[in-house]
Amino acid sequence: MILYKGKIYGTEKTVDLLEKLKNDVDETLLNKSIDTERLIAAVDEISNRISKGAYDKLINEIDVDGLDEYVAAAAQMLHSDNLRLNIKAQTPHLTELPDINSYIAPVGALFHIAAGNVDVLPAYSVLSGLVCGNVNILKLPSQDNGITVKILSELIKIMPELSDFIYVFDTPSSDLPSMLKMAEAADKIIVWGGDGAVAAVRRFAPPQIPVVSWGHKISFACIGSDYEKRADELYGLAEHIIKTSQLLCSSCQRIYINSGKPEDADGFCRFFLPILQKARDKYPLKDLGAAAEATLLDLTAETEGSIGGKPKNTARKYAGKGCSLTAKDEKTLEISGFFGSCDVTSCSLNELFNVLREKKGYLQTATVIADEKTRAEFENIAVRAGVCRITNPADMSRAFLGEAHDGQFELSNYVRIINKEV
Amino acid sequence: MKFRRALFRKKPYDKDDEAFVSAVREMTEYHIKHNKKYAKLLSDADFSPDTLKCAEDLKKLPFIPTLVFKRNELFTIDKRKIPVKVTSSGTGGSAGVIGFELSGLFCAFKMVLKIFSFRNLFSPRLTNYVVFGYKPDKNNKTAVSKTAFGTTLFAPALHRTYALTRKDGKYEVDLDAVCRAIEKYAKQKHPVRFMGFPSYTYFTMKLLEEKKTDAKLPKGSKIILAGGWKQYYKEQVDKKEFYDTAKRVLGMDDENVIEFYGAVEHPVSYCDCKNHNLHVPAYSRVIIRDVTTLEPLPYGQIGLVELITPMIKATPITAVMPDDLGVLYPGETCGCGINTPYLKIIGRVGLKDVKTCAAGASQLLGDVKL
Repeated sequence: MILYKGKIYGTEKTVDLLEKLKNDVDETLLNKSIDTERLIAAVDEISNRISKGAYDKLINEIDVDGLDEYVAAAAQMLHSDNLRLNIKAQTPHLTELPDINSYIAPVGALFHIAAGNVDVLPAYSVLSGLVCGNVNILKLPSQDNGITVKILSELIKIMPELSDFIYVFDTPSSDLPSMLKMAEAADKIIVWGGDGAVAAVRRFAPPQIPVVSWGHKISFACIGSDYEKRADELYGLAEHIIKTSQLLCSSCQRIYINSGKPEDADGFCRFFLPILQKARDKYPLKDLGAAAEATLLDLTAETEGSIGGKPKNTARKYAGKGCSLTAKDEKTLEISGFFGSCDVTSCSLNELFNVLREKKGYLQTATVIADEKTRAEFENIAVRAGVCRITNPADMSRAFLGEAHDGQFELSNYVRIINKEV
Repeated sequence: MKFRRALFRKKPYDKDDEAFVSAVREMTEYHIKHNKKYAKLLSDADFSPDTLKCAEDLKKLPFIPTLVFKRNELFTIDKRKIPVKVTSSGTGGSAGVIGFELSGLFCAFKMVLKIFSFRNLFSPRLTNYVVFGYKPDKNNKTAVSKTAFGTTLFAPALHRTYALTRKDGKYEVDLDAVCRAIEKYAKQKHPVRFMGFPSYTYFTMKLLEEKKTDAKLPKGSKIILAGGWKQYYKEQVDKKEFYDTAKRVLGMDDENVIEFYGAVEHPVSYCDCKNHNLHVPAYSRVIIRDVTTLEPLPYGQIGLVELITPMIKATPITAVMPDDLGVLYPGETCGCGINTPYLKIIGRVGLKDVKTCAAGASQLLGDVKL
C-alpha cells in the first residue's frame, strides 16, 4: 500500500510515483511549510480520540503485553502541552552571537526506514519529522500490518495540508533502485533497527546524504550488597522485567551484583526469585508460544555447545513458575532469555567498566539498587563506559517527557541551524 | 536390549512404569557407551542412568530439542551401518536426518501392528486411497511421505491419488484433481481412505462442498489424519467443525475420523481414541514443561511437550522436545476406557511475531527485516 499526497495507491504504482517523487518533494520544500501550531492541534485531536477509545479497534491489532499502559502513555505524550514541551526540550537552544544571527529550519526531506521491530514506530518517526517541519518519505517495514498508513491517513484527514509532507511506500528493501530513488529525494536518512538493518542502509546510502541510525541497545541493573533492605526497589525491577518481557532496548537483560564472589549471584537469585514470582503472578505470561521458542532456542544452543565439545556450562538456573533467574559466571552483557528469564552475575564495580566497554555503542539504560555511595560510584563508571540513561528500577522502560534518545535529542537531528551574518 | 524387547511386547495401553523405566535406563546406557557426544551431554548435566529408578526419575533425564537433530548429525551407530535414514519434514526451514537400526524398526513395526489393530485399521477389503501428502519418489526421503505410503498398506490399495505431486522438480498441490478422484471413488462400492495432512483434507472437503459435489463415501471409509496443520495453522479449525464438515460432505461419522500424532524424532504412534483423545501408549511417556523454566508441569497446564521412548539405538532420541505446545490430562477423565494420560496439542512455538529492539536479539531471532 502506498500513501502519496494523501491518496492510497496499490504497489503497482510504485515505479510511476517514485519517478515524480523528487519533483513533488522539491516543490513542497520550495513553496510550503507546516504550521507547527496547527500540527500540534491535530496531534492533540488524535490524542483526545485515543483517550476516548476512537481507535480502540485499530490499537487492539497491536499484539503486545501491557498495551493499555503504552496507549495511555502515548496519548499523554501526544497532548499539545507535552508535545510543545518536547519540541522545546529537543531542539537546539541558540545562543546570541556578536556577528551571526542563528535560527532553526527543517532539514528538508527525511527518508525514514523503520525495521518492523516496534509497532507504530514508523508513524512515530514520521511524526517526529513533521513537528520539525520536514517532508517525510517512509519505507514501510516488511512486517507492517497496515497500522502506519491508517495512523498517517487519520492525521491527514484532520490536517489535509500535511498530504504534501507525507509519502509512504511499501517497497521491499531488496528493491535497491526504489530505495535509491527515495534516498535521492531526501536530505537525510533515518534508520531504526538492528545491526543488520543499519549496515544495509549504510551500504546503499549516497555519500552526500547523512544517515541517522537508531540502533538496538542493551540495558542492565547493578545491585549493591545491602539489597535485602531494598525490597520495594527490587519489586520495581521485577515488575519491569515481567511487564516488558525484556523485549525493549531499555529492558533489563542482566543483573550485576557488586561482588567479586560468584556465589553471591546465587544468593541474590534465591532472594530475588520470590519477588520476581510475585510480579509474574500479577502479570501472567501471555505469549506462551514466543516464550517457548525463546526457551527452546536457548536450550538448543546449550545442547549444541555441549555436544560440540564446549566446556560444561556452569550456569545455575533458579526456576519459578513462568519466570527464572540464572546465575552466570560469564560477565559479558548479553540478552537474557526474554519473557521473565533474567541472568545474574557477580561483578565488582572495579571490573564493571571493562565489562561494559565490551558493549560500547550498545549501552542504553542502567539502574542501580544500592546505598548512596555505591550509586554515585556506579553512575560514574556507567556513564564513562557509555550508558546514557539512568533510571529508578521500576522506570527503566518509562518514557520521560522531553528526554533524549540514546544520548541525543532526537529532534535535533531533524533540524538545521541557519547562520546569517548580521 | 532385553528390557526394550519386553516393553514392546506389551499391549498398546498397558502402563507398566517399571518396564518402561528399565528400558529407558538400558537405552540411555547404550547411547552413553557408544555416543561420545551424547555421553558428554549427560555428563555436563551431571546425569547418570543409575538415577533412573522410578517413573518420577524420567523427569531428570536430559532431553534434546528436535532442532538439534535438524542441525547436527548425532548418530550412535556408525552412519554407514544405519540401514534406514529418514528426513524430518523441515517445516521450520531445516530438515534433520534420524537413523533407525533394524531392531528399532522391528519394535516400531510391532507397535504399529498393535496400535492400528486396536483402532481396527487393518482390513482385507480393496480400498481407494486419497493421500493428502507427497507422492513418494526416490528424491523424497521425508518421514511424512513414507508414513503416508505405509498407511496405504493397511488395506489393499485399489488406487492411490496424491494431493502433492512433483512437477518440474517442485511439489504442487492439486486439490481439483483430488476432488475429481473423490467424486469417482464415491460412485464405486469400495471403501475410501483419506490419509495425511488435516489442512489439505479440510480444504478439499470445503472445495467439494463449494462445488456441490456428491461425495458421500461408501461404508467402511475412513479419514486418517496425521502431520498437523503446519504452515496453515492460522486456518486450523476445531475438531467439531472438522467432524461436522466430514459428516456433511462425505457422510462420515466422526468415529471414522482417526487422528495420529508423532514425529520423526519420536517415532511412536499416538492414535486418538473413540473420544478423539491422544492417549500415551505403553511405549512412551510425555512430560509437559514450563515454557520459560522447563520445570515439569502438573496435568492440565500448557507447556512444551517432552517425549520419551526407548525405541531406537541408532540415534539418541530417547528423550526429545519438539516445537509443540501441549497439555496432558489424566487418562480416567477421557471416559473411553483407556487409562493412560492423554495429550492435547495446542499449537507450535513461535517467535516470528515477536518484536524487540534489544541489542543481540538477532542471535536468537534472526535480524528483523527492513
